[in-house]
Amino acid sequence: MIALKDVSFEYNSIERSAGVYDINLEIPSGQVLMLCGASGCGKTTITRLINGLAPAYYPGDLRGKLLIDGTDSSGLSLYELSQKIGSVFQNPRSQFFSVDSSSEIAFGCENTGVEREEMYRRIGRVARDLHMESLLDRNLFALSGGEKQRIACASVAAMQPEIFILDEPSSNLDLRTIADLKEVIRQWKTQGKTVIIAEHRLYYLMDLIDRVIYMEKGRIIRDLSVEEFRNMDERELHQKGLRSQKPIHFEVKEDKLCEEDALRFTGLSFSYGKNEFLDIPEMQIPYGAIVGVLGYNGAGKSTLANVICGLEKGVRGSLHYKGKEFSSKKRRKCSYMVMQDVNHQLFTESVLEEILLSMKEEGEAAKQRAEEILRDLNLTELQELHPMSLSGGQKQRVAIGSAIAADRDLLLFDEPTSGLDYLHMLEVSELLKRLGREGKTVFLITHDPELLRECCNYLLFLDKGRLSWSGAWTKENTGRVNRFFSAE
Amino acid sequence: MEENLLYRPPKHRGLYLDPRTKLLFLFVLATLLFLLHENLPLNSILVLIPILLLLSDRQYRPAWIYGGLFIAAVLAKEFDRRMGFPYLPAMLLGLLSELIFRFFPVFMFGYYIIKSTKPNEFISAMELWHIPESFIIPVSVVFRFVPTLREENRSIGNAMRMRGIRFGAAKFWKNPTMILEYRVIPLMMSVAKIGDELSAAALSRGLGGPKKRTCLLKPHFGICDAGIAVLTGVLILWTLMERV
Repeated sequence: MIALKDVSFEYNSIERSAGVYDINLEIPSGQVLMLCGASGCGKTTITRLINGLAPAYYPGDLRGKLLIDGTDSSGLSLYELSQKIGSVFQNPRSQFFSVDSSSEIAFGCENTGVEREEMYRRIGRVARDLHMESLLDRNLFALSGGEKQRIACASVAAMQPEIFILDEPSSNLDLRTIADLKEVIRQWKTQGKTVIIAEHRLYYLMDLIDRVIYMEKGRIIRDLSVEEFRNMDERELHQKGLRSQKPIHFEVKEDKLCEEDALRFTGLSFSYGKNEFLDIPEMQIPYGAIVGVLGYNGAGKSTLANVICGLEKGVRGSLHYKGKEFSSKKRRKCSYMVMQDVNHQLFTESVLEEILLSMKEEGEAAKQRAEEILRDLNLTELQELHPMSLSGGQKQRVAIGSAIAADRDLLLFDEPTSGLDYLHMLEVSELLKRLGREGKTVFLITHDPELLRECCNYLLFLDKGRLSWSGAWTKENTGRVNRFFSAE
Repeated sequence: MEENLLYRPPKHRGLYLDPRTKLLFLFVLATLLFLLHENLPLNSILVLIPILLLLSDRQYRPAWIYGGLFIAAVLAKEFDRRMGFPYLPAMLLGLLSELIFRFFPVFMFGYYIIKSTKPNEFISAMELWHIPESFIIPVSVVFRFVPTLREENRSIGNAMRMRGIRFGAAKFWKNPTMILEYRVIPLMMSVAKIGDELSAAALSRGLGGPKKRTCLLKPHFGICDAGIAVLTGVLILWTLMERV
């Protein structure tokens, strides 16, 4: 059993701001509990308090008492806690230590001095329990995000803790791999383990969890059973910044898109290694559409985005629009991608410079336009700050600003809302819609059904590097999208 | 039933060398290259060793590139000897080919070590040498960070090309140092972030605990290590005979 008694915690460093206050919480053994709330509500901090990373790794002021199975956890070292509590984190790329999957699963056991034969047994058992025999002895750098996340789960499971803590484990996963993750959690539940999950995406957990804790500004506001939570009104959830707890249903929409004025891609083909492959003989996109690019992991969505931006070498095919032809190299000048990890594309020392860097104009004219762009994106107050000191959403807006400044017609977004709560998702969606109204054609790679419903008016579905269908929200396509998002 | 569940690590493909052998041989290689003096057959062997090891680890691309560079350097040297290049190109060429002859074998061998060694294997081999953990663990992280750097570098390169920041562009001439700055700073930022999250994940799985670490893989000397030992002896003898 875990008990938090009058616990308050504040981080010492400025950048990590979401402290928690007056937390009283008892979690009996075997319970599956979900922590939810808007970004910055302190749910991640709670997970860190339980697994001991706060204050041992993330220093701060801790008041109150935290008991794990009756022992005061402040007397336990991280090492001791690690044998009782297993933690899975948000980013699959940054939580593995080894380069091959089997060693990674064994990593925790190695640290705690488990004998080699016993490790073999545990790896075998964990691989069977989590249905991942095929993932053993693979190079971790060649695995997808979802596969890495399952390895992370297996690695903590091999340590055989009684408590599992997951901090936004689904943020970087697609639907099919979320279903795998769900299966893993279900296994733990049937084994009688305590599971604590901090999460934005709620719907996939609804038939697993026993209890929901809703937090706001570092405090626990509601403590609900899953039945009570399920009966909560969708609108009430959204007001609290929460995503839907039910699967999203899509409806037929009639948008007027100018079909004549189309972007015509012809003969796009590209191949690289075994995994990257693309072959699209013909693809038409209405001018000014917001295109949702759908498909499973490995279907070629990111490859398509790179090909459209002219970032891959050896691409065949071209794009025709406005009576001009754009080869791969020319497309680099008319397109811009906002990457999933936006840190990769911010280079300068202030927000204003970042915008100016993209501009063709110089001097006063450039400065004026830059200020306009900043104003439109609500960035004026931040213009002197270093881009790296901003929050994730602000960084994203700076990257969008630099795309607008570069005057590109095609804008591509790779998972702009992964890990965002409902309100931040709406902000992104509004921004995308505005770009569409301003005549940009927007490609949106996303696994986020709510974002898709909010802002896309055209759809592309990729399967194994080929275009399997495309079109607006017609009856037929809407049915397809509903099937795609409801399938597990 | 239980027996079926047992995991068994796969057999090593190609040549398997103990991490200790690899490290020791790295020093041997560096020393021999330092002592080497105008001995093409011996030099060729020293170049061939990392290439063959890379090939045995299926690292074809670097192996062929380096092999090609070596052959080109040999040909250039031979051409220079017979025909004679003008002064400046001859000097540059001499410098480049010396680099290829004397420095690259060590780099390539280092690359082979990083590519073919697993962090946990490295840690347990170093523990057999009683090197303190506080030194081994930071070093072992290198094996994991080299591929990470490549991944990160690729996306940063893409981002730069998208914004037209590249060698020779108009923006470049205004401020040529920026090309380095723009590549290195985001790289450092993201590596720092990954390092931070990795430490948290490793600590929460008991890294740095008081108990002695075990290892999934058992480093052991085998027939290949013996082969390397014999080879080392031969190479040292050869070099010494040359020097006398």
